[in-house]
Amino acid sequence: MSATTPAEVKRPEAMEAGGTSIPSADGAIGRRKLPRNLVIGAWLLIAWMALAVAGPLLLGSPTTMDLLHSLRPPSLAFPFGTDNLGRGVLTRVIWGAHLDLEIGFFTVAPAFFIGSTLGLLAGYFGGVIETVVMRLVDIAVAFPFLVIVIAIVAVLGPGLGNMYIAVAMVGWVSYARITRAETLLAKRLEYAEAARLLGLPDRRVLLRHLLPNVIPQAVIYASSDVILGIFLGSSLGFLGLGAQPPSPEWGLIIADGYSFVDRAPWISAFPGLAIVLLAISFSLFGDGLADLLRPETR
Amino acid sequence: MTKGGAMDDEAVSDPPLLALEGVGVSLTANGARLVEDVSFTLGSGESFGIVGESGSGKSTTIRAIIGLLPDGLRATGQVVFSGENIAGASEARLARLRGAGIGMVFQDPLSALNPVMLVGRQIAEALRWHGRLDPAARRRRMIEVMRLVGLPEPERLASSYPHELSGGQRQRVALAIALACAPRLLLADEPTTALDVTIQDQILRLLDELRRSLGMALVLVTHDLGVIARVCARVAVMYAGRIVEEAPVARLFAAPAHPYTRMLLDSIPQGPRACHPLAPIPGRPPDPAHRPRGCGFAPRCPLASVACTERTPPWRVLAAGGGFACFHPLLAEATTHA
Amino acid sequence: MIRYVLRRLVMLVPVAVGITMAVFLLVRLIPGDPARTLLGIHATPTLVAAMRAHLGLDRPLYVQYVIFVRHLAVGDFGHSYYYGQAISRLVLDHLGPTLMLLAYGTVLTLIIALPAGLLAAARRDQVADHLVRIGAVVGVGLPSYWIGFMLILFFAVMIPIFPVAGYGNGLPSHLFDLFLPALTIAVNISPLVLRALRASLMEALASGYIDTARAKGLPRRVVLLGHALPNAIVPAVTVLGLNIGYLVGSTVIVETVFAVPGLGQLMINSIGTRDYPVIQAVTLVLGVLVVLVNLLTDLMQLLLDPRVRREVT
Repeated sequence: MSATTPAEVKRPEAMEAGGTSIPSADGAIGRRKLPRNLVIGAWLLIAWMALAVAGPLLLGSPTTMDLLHSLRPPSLAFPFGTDNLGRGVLTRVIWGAHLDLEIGFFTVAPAFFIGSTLGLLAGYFGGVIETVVMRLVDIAVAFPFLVIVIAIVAVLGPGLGNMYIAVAMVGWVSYARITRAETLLAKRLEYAEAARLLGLPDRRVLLRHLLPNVIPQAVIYASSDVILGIFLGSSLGFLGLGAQPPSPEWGLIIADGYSFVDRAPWISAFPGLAIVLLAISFSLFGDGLADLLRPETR
Repeated sequence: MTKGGAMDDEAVSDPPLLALEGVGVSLTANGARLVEDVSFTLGSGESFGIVGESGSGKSTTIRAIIGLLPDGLRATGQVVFSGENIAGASEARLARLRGAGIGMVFQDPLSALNPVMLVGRQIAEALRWHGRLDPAARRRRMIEVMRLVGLPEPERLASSYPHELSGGQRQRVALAIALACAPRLLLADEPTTALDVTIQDQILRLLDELRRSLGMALVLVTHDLGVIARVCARVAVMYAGRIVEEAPVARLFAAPAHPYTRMLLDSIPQGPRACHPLAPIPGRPPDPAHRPRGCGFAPRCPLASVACTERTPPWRVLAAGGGFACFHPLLAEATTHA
Repeated sequence: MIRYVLRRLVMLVPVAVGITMAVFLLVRLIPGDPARTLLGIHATPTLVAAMRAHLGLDRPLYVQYVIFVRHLAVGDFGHSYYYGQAISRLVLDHLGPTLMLLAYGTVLTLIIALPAGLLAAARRDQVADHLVRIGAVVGVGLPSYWIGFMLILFFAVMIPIFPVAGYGNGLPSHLFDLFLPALTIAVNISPLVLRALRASLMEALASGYIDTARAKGLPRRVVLLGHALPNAIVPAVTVLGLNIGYLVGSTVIVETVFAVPGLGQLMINSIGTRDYPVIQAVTLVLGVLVVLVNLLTDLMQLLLDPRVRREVT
């Protein structure tokens, strides 16, 4: 199966940079500035983080129930309306921001570290380590990601913590593939050969020389993987397997709002919108990062 | 107003089949001129070569003839084919002309053929779009053209894919595609550069043979003077987007007028002064966006004077045919036409 | 070429083995007695003892695995006490809707991605291109359950055309009822295919044979569709195949949102009822499905690209 799947799991081509490049007749590219996507994405993310931190400090509790005001449409008092328990949807959405940002981080970070390390070792040392790692990769890849995570969570019990464990158990695979492929390429380059010939210990070669050159691809992948992580977390919340009530996690709010789609669509619509906006922010940032870190091949 | 009389082994056919007048190509982005004021004429069945270094604008010039310029380039000037100015013609008009009236082959036969389409189908495609032949007649014509270009076992080859053929065979297929509808003019952009030396020879001989037997005019662009010597009757030398000299081939090799031509000849191993040490031309051609004032070659020219950097040398026609643009030509005497 | 297919099938075996091992270990992750876990609330001493014997829990782990595989080989996936049926029967009953949804979703993905990718590549850097690319960014940025929700809101509640849930009876009814769910899947996947197609089209359009095609006198449209597209389609199809895992995952969510009686819904329901044998079985089946589809994608490549064919024979 690995014979036909690419050695690295790559996202399809990132969008082209919005930065300017002036063609001149001899083919040289003119000035390169920071890609537009990257700048816009970065600002959006900063705004989100500010919201996640400041919001809860400024707003009331997301769990106070007020049954007198249940299922109210958006108004001045409740800009996003209220849900069936009278809780303001806007308040819940803003409180949930930090939850989903956390989900994004904790789904990606462990997988990133475990996977990159294993990939680097597999690519550098080869042999048994590589075989074992790649076999594990093949098996993990065979499963649809969501399905296996659901299965593991089903076994361990619902909750965000178990979800993070489940994701780490399967998610490292992509990073391993990417870093291994990059390591294999970088290993042959002269600076690595030179370092080895100089008699530098393996650890030093790995850390000081190979790692900085091998890690950018994984970072690029990670930045768009965050979006998937957030979706995964909120999907599991939606299915009742992630965050548990009364947590204002966005997927959970959407799930709660489902039964009221005809009477109070705003309950599910707004948190969904929030997820979409967050995803777009990460997407722009990730694409911009890819354009920046990858030499432009057009 | 045509620059240079056309002297050839055949009499000049009046009017010329192809006439470029003041053709220029520039980048729409910054106006840099890749090709400047190019003019020449070509009669039916004649062979004309354009020689120059990379970046001299020679490929761009012939692409401009059939309007196959990359995006971001704009052409000016007149291109008269069979009495019709096609320079500003509509895409539809040009498409009807391409393949039928004017054919073109390109440099790299490997990438010039569609990898996922059968070779025969690629050849017959031109026939489908231009002709009114029925399928059977098309197939016959396709086989005929394949034989014409020297492809062995046409029936079998027609059912192959490009990657199953050798480089020489692929270039023959490319020729077959270009010749399928019997065009009156063939444009060839470095047709042999990507081929082995022995195959080069075969293809060049084929081109010459086809020109004679089909009465087809040929414009051949190359950086290789040896190729010019084999196939062309007249040749234009381009530098920095301009034609700096035009002459019948024999005269060019024996007594070039322009210093650049002279240095070009001195730099090739099998040139006329083969016994002398090779003398590469120092320096590099100028960036089109930053061309110096005056003659483009002046910075590298050992004969350059102040005048050369102030004005572009005007074109001077020679009585013996051809012309040049230089303030310090290498001719013992230069006669000019009014 | 048959030999190639057979060779690929053989290469699948280790992966299949790996899948079964992973699924086998899955239930063993649960602390406690596996027999008791599998029986859940139906555990009585007699049943537990019988289950222990059936699973060979007194034997070493690898023997248990062998027993597990032997059961699988005869189609014995176990018994679901919740549904009161053999699980193999359950799985078969629920397989149809899932497969249908997958196929439908793939078709819609192609219907969306192909024209959009062509348009974007043909009108590169113009308005149409930017619109398509923005659409792609948005499409990926929408979680599937939210897309499903919005589609329900607009096309089932506000403008009641499609049903909110269900599967229908008979093929025409299936196609109608599954339209919104399939569309939900397509919205998520088509941006990926679209981007790949656009990129490979741009690469194709920069190739030498495009010059040859235009020099033949072919109009731009014919060059795009007849020359560039056949060359560009292969990477796009490959991307579709690569994302099959994502597709199947999407299906699970979509089935839940639209109450489609497929494997996904079966799995989610079983989690609620702690019906571990079912969870195990569905995971296994879905894993095998993904592997098979990957094989199918590779075979598609063979079909579409003669160069691959030559390498293989």
